[in-house]
Amino acid sequence: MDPGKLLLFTVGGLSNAAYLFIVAAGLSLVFGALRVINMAHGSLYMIAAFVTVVVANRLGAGLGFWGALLVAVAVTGLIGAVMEILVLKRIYGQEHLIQLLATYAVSLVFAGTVRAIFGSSYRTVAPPISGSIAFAGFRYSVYSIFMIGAAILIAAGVYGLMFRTGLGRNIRAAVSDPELLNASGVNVTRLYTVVFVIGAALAGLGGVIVAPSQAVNGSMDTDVLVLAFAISVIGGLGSIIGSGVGALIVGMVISFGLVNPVTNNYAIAFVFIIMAVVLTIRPWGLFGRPEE
Amino acid sequence: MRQMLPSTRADRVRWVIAALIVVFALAVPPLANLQESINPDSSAKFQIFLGTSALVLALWSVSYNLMLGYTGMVSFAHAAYYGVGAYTVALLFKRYHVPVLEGLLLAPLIAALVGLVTGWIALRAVRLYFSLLTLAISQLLYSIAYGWYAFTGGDNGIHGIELPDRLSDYGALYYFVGAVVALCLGLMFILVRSPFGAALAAIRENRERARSVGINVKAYELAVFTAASAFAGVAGGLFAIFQQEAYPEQLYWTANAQPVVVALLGGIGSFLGPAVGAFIYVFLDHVITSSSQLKSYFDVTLGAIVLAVVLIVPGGFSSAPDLAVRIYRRFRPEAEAALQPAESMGDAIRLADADRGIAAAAIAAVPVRTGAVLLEVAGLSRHFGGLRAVQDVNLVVHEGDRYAIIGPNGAGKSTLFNLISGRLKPTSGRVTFDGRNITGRPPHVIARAGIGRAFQITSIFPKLTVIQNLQYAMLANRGRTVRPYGIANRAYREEAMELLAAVGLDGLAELPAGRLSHGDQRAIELAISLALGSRMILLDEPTAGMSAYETQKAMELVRRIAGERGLTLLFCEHDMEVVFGTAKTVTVMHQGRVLVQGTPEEVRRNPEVQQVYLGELETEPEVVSR
Amino acid sequence: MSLSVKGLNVHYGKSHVVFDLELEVRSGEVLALLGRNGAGKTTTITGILGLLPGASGQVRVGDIEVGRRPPYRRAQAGMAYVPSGARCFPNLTVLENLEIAAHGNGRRAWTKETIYELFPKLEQLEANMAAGLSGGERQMLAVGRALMSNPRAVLFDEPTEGLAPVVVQGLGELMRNLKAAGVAVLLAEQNHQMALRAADRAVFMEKGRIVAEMPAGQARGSEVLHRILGV
Repeated sequence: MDPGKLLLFTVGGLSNAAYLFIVAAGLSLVFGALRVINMAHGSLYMIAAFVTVVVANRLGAGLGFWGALLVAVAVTGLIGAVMEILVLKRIYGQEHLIQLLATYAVSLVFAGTVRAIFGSSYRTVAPPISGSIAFAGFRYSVYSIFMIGAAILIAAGVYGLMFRTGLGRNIRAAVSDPELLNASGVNVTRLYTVVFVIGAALAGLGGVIVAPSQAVNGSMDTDVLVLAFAISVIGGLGSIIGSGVGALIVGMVISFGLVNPVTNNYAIAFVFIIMAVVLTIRPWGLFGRPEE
Repeated sequence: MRQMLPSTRADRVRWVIAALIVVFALAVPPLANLQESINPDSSAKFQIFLGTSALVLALWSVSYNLMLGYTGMVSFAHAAYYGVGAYTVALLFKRYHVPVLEGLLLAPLIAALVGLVTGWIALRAVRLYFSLLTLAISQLLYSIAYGWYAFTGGDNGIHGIELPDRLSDYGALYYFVGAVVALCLGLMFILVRSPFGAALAAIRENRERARSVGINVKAYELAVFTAASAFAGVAGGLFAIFQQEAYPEQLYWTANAQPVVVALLGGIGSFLGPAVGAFIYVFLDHVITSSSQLKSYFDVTLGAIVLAVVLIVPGGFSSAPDLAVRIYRRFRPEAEAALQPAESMGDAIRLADADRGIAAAAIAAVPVRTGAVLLEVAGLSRHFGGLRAVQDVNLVVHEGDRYAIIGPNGAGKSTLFNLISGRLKPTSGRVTFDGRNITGRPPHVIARAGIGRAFQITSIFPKLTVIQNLQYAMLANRGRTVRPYGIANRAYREEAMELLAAVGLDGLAELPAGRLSHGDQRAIELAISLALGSRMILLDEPTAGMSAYETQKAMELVRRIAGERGLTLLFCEHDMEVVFGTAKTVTVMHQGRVLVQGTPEEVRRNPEVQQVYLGELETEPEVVSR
Repeated sequence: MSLSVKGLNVHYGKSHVVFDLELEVRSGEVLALLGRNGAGKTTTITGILGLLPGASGQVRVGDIEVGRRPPYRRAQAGMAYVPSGARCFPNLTVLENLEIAAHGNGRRAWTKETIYELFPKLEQLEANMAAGLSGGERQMLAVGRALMSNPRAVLFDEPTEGLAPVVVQGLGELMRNLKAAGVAVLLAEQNHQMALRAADRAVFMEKGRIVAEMPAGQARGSEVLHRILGV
């Protein structure tokens, strides 16, 4: 493979990794603090993408996308709050089985609602930053560079939140001992809602950022959920760094899988092979901790 | 006198319901024909077709419940094995012209083979990670069915499967499918009642405990995963026959929603629950899709139903008999009073009877050879990152010894126990038991080699009855759980009862263990460790949470049984009275190392031990009294 | 009165485990709560803190009635908790463990600096993860964390459990410091020798009820001690 092509597919892989990281980080944050795998995480991502399409197209080009970003993140955050209060609060500390089934049921409701409203057609939205850069014989869209930048910014933001703020400290404390945290004067009930809202908003942010780069449709919830699971499992559930590394691996594999028609059909399959290999060697993922 | 418990009455209701289901299933074709003759608008063919799909769904869901309800595994790959079954029949017919009935015989074999290989990979991980790994496997199989266009027909799937003439009639096809489903359900029913099924229940209730009574958890999980795959393969093969097609979406991971929802609707706690759920599901599906308003909200309705079941009635439809019995008894208060089971007061250990314990057949009866070395730990270390939890520990435990390990929290006692019992693998060093090197062997092997264990934090099988806790532990430890036939609940009843009497629990034998009070659960914990027929028992703070009197009583029981029956004890304990009153040998651990070992008296007088552990407190009263 | 409890009842499911309990601890006083294992000491402490859903009764800190409030609001009103075995947040640094309890309630007697004066060791360990601390260091940290909230009352739940007896002996010194700071201390302990040496008064529990109360000096070596604790 010549260097120009290598760079092309690398940038493609990085922009895949960008939105996947944002989604997977939300999933991992929620799992780390609340010990719940949110099967409806992909639905929140899909809802945000549809909201972006609707709002951005109504507001028109230019400002439209940025307005949609605010609306979509607010909507997913709000849905997250309602979901946490109505469903999640009843299933904390229960068996994984119950948690998986309950959030799975929620995802069915979300997916059904989205399909009932938007039907099965594909929708698109124009990127807020158009244009492309020519380099070494290939053209790169400015928006895919923007996606990579946005993901780096969000990664820094999440890191700062977790290790530089009182909220992050409280979230980490809740991971190890929620009872003691409650008796130390922190409202853990509300903290859990806040964590879930942040997770939901990250899913939403992922959906907003991905919307201009893909066709928005009614099955993008399971598509992204499956990849986010693969990332979390490769990187280790509950680890934000793991989400980053996992997203890079998965993003690159998908991008390079598209290099030729032979591997094209099985690009996704490679992701799962890597996932199986990682778990066979490290059953808790690269950066995960054994669960007892 | 055998006490009539609420569960047995509900069981009778269940048998009646099961019989009704069979009658109903047999009557579907005549009823459909009858309806058509009364109301020419309804199509008997369509009704029978729906009935056939309910039968297939019932088989698929019951096979899913082998994992979900009986073993506690959540798999997202079950649809894939169902799909493999369907593709086996379809591809054999299309590509190799194998008749469908012969294809149906091969379907479970191929599905089982795929299940075995993929299950082996998935079971490298546990619980949640296992679930997510099955998801990956499912998507992998899907992408093969979807992407291998030349062989599988890609997204078009395979159509135009032809049936032999005998099965071309809808009614005949229905009874044929019904017979195959009934045969498979029968086999699965035998499986879940057998000692093998007991091992599955033990794993579901408490993996760690299951391992420590001698169950090779991974092997059993793989076995049930493979068996469930085989039955899913039959269901998929039947699907290909009655629908005459196979397509890749059958394998997609979201297709698992169907058996999950069906099992939940029917109730994962009962054998036929998912089968009942299948008929309800097919009926609901029919109602929703034939209504133009509800049709576009199929997923929403389904999601709402699942959510409601999970949050409100986790027992599903099959908890109805229990509910009915409860309601019935509400109107007959005198019946309720008569049926009220004994209450767990937490005083079991006060009723303990050491003499009955000494006589119990369940306890190992290997005579003590004079003071031979039973357990030898040499240079054992375990590091967690930079933390040296256990560092170069040497111990020799002789037969018949009562050996105590003491030290503050964090001294490495629990880690040492976990290293000996196989829960953790040592970084270096060697453990020899009865002349056999058991270093780093898995817990079930060590348990079967003769080291029983009681945990510091009570570790029992909460939803099993008290007596089942012991019966299943005994089945496991004596290697009987490999048998996939026979009835587990009839095995070792007397032996278990004897032991329950010894720890004062005989009045509570038929209650779910999790309903007992904390103190009584400690007694179960103790009884399980005795039931294992082990030569050596590891007791991790056996009297934690007991009162002084109970402590004294429990230790007397343990001491006498150990003495009379030649058991060797290795225990750790914070209560110095228990330690110095029971132990023949004491080891003091400090910061992962052995500080001192010797007789209780030597240890008590050791100045170093006084300095780092005992301090002045323990010796103060003695100084005063002298 | 800095901590007063009236009519505390605790139920676990159907069983009633603590009955109409009544306690009062003045500021600057240490009250020992003694009893056998299973007598209901831990249940009483966690019940007063609001950590048990089945607990009801009046609880007053200073002049604030908190009996119907959730645990975090009781903590904000001036209640601090030192759990058994000196539990800390293992995945947080020593400094974070201290800061987490500092909520702005207007009382400013204790700060990070004053706690470092009391336990100079903690300052050296400031950036370390609490998971790596020894038992004695954890004990200091748990007490330091409790003090950071500038509490009116500190509730100790078997602070000596699992600690080397040699560490336990340092606890008396701690109690004197707390008394000097005017804090009300409720000390539930299995280790009656240590507790009676540090306490002003003692109450004895049996089967979820208080059965005796007396000055600590009088309790030492008394017949009550022998009858109730079996020593």
